[in-house]
Amino acid sequence: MEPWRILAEKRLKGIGKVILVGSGKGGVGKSLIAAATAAALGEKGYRVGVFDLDIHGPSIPRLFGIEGGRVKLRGSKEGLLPVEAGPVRVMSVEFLVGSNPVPLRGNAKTEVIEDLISNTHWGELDYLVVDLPPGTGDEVLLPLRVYRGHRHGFLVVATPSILSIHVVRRLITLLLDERVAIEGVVENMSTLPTGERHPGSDMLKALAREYGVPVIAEIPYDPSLETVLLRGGSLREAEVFWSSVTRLAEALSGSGAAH
Amino acid sequence: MHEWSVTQAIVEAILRFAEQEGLRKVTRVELEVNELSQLEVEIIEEAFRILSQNTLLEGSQLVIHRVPARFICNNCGYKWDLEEALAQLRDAADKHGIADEEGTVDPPTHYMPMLVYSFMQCPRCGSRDFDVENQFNVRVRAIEGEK
Repeated sequence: MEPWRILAEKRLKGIGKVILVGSGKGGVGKSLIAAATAAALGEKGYRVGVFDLDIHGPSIPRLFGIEGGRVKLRGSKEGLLPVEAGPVRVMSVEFLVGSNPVPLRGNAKTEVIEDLISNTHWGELDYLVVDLPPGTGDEVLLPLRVYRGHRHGFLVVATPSILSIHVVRRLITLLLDERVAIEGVVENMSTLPTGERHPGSDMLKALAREYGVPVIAEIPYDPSLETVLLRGGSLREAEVFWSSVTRLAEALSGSGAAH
Repeated sequence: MHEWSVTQAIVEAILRFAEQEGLRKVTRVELEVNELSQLEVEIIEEAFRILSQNTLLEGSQLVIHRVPARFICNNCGYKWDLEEALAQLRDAADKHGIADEEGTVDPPTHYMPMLVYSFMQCPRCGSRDFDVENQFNVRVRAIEGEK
């Protein structure tokens, strides 16, 4: 076994369960849901880490108000120490590069993901929420290879749009083929700005049913969310969004305590 | 500090390999260290010696080869080495340096060499589209032992 995999295995020893958050395509609210789920689990008293592996578009630090330029990452004998944001420990490539571009290709991309996974010292956690990059490339396959050997569950984040449905199908097929435990589909923006149900909602639910995967959460459109994000407020202030995410966190923690 | 966790992973990887191969003793280990990571060879040697104690590796000879970092620009074809790139990396250490418990500040590339793409541009044309010749951090080149 390669040395980085040995280190990666060591990092998992103190972690109860890994919640992988992924989507077939970008722009469906994956990072937002990963961050909010971690915050909601933290609020319930769990020890939570959130791992931003979306190396080309890291957005987790901003969601916790700890952008790269504002915090200093620290190292230790055990490895890189995540940044603490209230009860949640956060690691992101942004803490290493600030606002610099991350123009990685092929092998370089997988090297950075291997290094992030193997160098981050999480310590003891009940849950590690991993914000995966969108798609089904190397940058997703690599973390799956590491984390599927540990206690884990995958949240497939999708919007009920006709444009994303085929992508969701491909992602679920891949996860089943790779023996990844799917926790459920998170239907983001399940309602329209008018408050009506999204017309594609039934289609997404039918797809989940076809694969025997539950729709674990429906997150309605919350008009206050963007305003809250713009002024750097807490996600809790977007009440409709937050109450749905809290229910998602309850469903996750109810489906089996971390330890 | 990072050298310790890297060496520990290498020692464990070699021990697993030795077990698989049915080695009773490892006599010689050759490692390649990419100079881009700026890992300190002396610390790796010390960590290796201490972590090898009471294992199949105890007393084995450790040989470390420093592998030079070389870069080639895909835009203008210019080739350069680490020495020419050090100024850019020093700047990265100033702005994004990571301090450890002993107060040593390392550039991010110490932990993740491929982040060089975030901190380096072609010295001639300024492009970030370049290739790095060796992309690994540390790797085992050879292991010798007795069955």
